[in-house]
Amino acid sequence: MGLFIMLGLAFISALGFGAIRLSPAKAVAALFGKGNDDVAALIVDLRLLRACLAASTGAALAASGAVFQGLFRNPLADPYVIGSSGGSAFGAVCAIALGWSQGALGFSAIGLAAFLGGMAATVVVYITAGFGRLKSDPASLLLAGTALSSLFSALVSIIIALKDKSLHQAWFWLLGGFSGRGYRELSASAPAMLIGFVLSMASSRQLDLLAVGDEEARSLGMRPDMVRMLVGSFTALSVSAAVALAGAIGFVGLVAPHLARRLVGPKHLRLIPASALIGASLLVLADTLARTAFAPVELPVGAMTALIGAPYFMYKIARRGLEGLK
Amino acid sequence: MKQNYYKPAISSTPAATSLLEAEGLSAGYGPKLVVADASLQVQNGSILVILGPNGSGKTTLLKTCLGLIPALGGIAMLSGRPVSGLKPGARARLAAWVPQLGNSAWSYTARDIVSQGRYSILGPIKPYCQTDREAVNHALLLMDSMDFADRPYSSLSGGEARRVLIARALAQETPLLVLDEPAAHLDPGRQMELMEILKNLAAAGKGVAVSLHDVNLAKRFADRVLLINRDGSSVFGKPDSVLSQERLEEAYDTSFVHGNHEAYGQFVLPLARKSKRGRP
Repeated sequence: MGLFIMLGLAFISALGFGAIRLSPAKAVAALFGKGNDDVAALIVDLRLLRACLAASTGAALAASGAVFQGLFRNPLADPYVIGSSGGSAFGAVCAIALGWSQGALGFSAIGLAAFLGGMAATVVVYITAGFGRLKSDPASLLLAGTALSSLFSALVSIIIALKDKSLHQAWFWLLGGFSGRGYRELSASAPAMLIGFVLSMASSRQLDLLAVGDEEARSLGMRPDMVRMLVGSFTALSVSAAVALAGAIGFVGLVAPHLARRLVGPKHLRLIPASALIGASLLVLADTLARTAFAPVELPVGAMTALIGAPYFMYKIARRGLEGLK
Repeated sequence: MKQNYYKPAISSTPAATSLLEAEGLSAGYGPKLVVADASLQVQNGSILVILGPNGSGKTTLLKTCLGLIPALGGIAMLSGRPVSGLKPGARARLAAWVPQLGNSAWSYTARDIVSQGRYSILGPIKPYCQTDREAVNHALLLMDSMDFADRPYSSLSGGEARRVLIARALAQETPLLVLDEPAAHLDPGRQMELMEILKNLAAAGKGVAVSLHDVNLAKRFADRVLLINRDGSSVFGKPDSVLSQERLEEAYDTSFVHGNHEAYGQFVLPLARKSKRGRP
């Protein structure tokens, strides 16, 4: 409940702050069509869209982070752990460098390339980790994901080096952000993000069982390999959609589940929605900050989340080591 | 600890049914054979104790019986159905596994861990209802674990965590319980208490297969014993015939003193290791 209020406050601040500052009362009035200030209404419309973009991306990344931490029994897992950010970045940079402009399914060309790149990376990671054994143990998946991410970042550097005209655009895309995205992009990504969220909620009991280890989970009647494969895939779908929308924004998916775990405990049926709410609020606030801190220059929102998230993480580790994250 | 309020999920039938049966079962990891050609049976209402020296493959054999690792030869059956053909869900409704050491990521409470036992009954989606809550409370009560039910599982002592794992197996409401050295690291009082609980579960109609290190507990509580030798061969039968002086000496490479006490009955005490450096 408190988390909904927090998200509401984040939205109001997002509506209020900007090049033209509105008081919270004025912003809320304009939001509900009560104000008679046309300029305010216009501003609120734009900022509301932007806040919705940030909130849905934050929610998808944070919920996915909670799922991946559960799948891998590892507090350091984030939504990109199985290589989807690397794949998305590669896809997007290809699209930028080659000047693709033909979008599809409501995606822009860059968004579509990022989405497909992310999903392809996930498939490659699963095939690598389970090749010939039809298994998906956490360590192999983590290693395959890390290796593939390095491979993709090398390819991205090479492409940027060869096509240096695309450097600026690619750099901004890689850091993540919401400028220039609108209803069209949101409606293209929203279904995949929603499907991922609903299915991960439906597998929350299985995520709880995974906490005691594969063998015990199997003795309790579950198939850990299958769960890790299925749940990992549709969560990767959600992550790829989020990355296609806003670029690979870091730290939200890592930090939000930790905050949520402190508030609602480790059970995934509560943890996943709580993470989503916290992630949404965090990203709305980070985006507001990115828009306003050095206005009219807009900072990349991915840099803002890392700026907030990294010190928080270091503080937790300094205080209690890995235990502080559990 | 109260023991008289346990109501079995399945009524004890007068006719003996075979809950676990192994025929010529060979167990091991990959190409490495640990236990060869073992045969055993657990009927409802009875306790099978598996004995054998360290590293003789008690855990491996139990896991193979449950299909947690594939058999290298022979066949294992749960309630008359070959375990290799059972899906994990069906298997978890026939037999519950109590591992030696549990571990859990995140800070789940003991109650959360016990409620995992309901997964085989509920599956991934079906909501957790009153029946499930009662089964979990019942299991926690039976294992004398209510005091720490809401503490983080990872903060419990070894003995407490063991009781939580057994409670989880009870919440699973299976006809068969399989326990891997549940008495390890328990003080003598807790050991006796554990064995009394297993005895009562058997009396209520369950089948129990349990690996132990204490020959005397086996003598006292087992209906059947499987003794595994260091070479991987094994003998199955009634305690009196299997736990003879010669067989114990051979299996443990140790001489034993055999005695008789008016209150306790027959007992054995280890006297001396026979070969000084491991295997002769």
